[in-house]
Amino acid sequence: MTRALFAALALTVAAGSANAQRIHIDVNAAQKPIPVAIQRFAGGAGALADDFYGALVAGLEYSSVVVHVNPEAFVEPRETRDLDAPAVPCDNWKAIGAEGLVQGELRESQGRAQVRFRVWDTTRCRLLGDVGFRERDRAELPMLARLVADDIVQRFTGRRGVSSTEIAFVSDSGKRNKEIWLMSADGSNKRRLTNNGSINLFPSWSPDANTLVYTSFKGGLSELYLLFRGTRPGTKLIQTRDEKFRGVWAPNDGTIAAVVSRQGNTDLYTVSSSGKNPKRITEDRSIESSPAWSPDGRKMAFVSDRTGSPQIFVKDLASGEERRLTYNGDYNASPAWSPTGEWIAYAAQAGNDFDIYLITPDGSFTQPLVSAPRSDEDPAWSPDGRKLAFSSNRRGRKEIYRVDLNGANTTLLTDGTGNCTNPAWSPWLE
Amino acid sequence: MSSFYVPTESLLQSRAFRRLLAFSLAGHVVVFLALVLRPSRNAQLISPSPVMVQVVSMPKSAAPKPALAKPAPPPKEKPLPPEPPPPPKPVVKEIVIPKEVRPLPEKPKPAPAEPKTPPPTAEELLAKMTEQVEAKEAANAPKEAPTEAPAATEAAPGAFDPLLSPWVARVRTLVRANWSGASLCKGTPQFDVDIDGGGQLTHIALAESSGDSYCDDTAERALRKSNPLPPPPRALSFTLSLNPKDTQ
Repeated sequence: MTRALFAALALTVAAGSANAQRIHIDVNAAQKPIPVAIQRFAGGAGALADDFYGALVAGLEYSSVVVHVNPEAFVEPRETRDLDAPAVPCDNWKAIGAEGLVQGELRESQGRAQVRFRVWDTTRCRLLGDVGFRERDRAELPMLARLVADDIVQRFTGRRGVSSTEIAFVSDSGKRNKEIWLMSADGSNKRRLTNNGSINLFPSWSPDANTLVYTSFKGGLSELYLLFRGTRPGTKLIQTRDEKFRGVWAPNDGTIAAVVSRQGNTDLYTVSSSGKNPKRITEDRSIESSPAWSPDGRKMAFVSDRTGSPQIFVKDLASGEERRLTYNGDYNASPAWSPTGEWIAYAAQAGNDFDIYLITPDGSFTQPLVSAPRSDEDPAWSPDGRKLAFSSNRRGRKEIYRVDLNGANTTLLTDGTGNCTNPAWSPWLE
Repeated sequence: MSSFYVPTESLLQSRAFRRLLAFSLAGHVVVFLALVLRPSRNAQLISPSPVMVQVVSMPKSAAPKPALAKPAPPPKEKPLPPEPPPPPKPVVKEIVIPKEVRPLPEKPKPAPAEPKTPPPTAEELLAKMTEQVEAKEAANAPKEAPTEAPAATEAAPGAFDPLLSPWVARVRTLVRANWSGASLCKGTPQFDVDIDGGGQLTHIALAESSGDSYCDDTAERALRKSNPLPPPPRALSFTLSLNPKDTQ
């Protein structure tokens, strides 16, 4: 009897101890990018291979999420030897701290550069991707390398990199007029798109990244124009006599939100990409402007002074319901809805200057993103939602910068291109 | 003066004097007996019975400590049972020690002695009772004892094992240093991990996803990159949570 009793007691105690036996360890992250080793691609002759390798590394590191491992540390060869090998010596790559490995083959044929590559997860020794040949004109080799880099970023992060995207912006470029310009996402390859000697503002990209809608005073009045990639001439979007101040392309179809002044009342409308089927969105007597589409195209953030000062509102396009989003400060403007839908970036006045803030679309949480001395304005999201471009006069003249979503890696993109404003980050080009 | 003189003989002869004398004698006898026979307070303090309780309790406090440390707890506990009856005198000496210490402050001595005894919680008392029962049973059936004893030592070092703390700190540091790409994470992935005595991870399983498989992958890579971990005090299983917030 006593033995049975004590056995039961002992069991109870043992059970309690067994539950307590599994310990719990919490680890906090150190914010570091993923180290990936890149073997130089096989087959490329000197300059071709060098150019490609340099652009590939730069494209990877543009992501801020992936970083390349210094080849000096390689135990294995620095150049790809056998791209069809069934396995790679993962331990040798893991030993130098690489969590990934990129191998590839590059060749040039009839003025075209061709590339194929493989991506490995070396810690788990798994093939993440085996991509067949892609090609571009030899002159577009850097773009080919960026496209490969963005693909590699996707293998490790689930979202494609944005080094191959572009940013449109407005620059006075030393003259008195303001033209629409274009540059690569890293600030290279700047070129002017308009040259009408007038004032051109607010570029906005079509979802396929082939067309820009922008505002121009070239005809005397403020009008919206389309600018096509390639040789097609630009056209006026809306043929009515009303003033149109700004057009913003919806992210998922051909609809364009337009700020139109009719009979002295400025409101938001939507029109098709051919300028047809106008539909009035807001009907308040106050001034409504700066439309920003939600990623699903069902809601629109905009600025209105209906409460006495410019504030950001959100409208549900199906129900027509409108609600005020910002309450802090006397001047909140330039809303930009993130492609992930999580945030709305905006410019908030602080004293005589503006800072860039992030707010959740339900208004429950706000945090500053960029608050340097002087003004930071015009936030524009990268298509992956991990970066923003913005304009700032922190160095005197207005220039375009980019910054990571966590506020890190602020980089100047338009040094020496005059006063630059209104950045518009393109969708992925292909 | 003379008027005050009373001859003895005449006093002894008087009845009143005899009564007084008898009362006086009786009173003295009673007082004497009371003084002689009344038990003194000092005698109570020296009484051995409470001493026995206190001394037995001292080794009790020593018992739970070896229970925490794995090596060899049982030897200290076994000598206890045989002790109680035989030595009363040495026990009295031990009790005297607190008295000598008294001059220092007020009651500091009894205090430290007490906390050692009360901590034995229900679990420890049960453990001790079971050990005593097992010890008795071991005398009858010696083969069963060794199998049950290690079970008790394994159960003891649980989540609160102080020996694990330095090891846990090293694991935290190492995995944190090897975790790259945590910026992808919004949730906190959790892994169930088994580790052998040499530090080799023998089992890694995603117990709770962060909601993003790429984030989960970064965390798993951090674990595999950290393999082998520093050798733990013993083979064990643990749950590892990787929190993307950089709070250090």
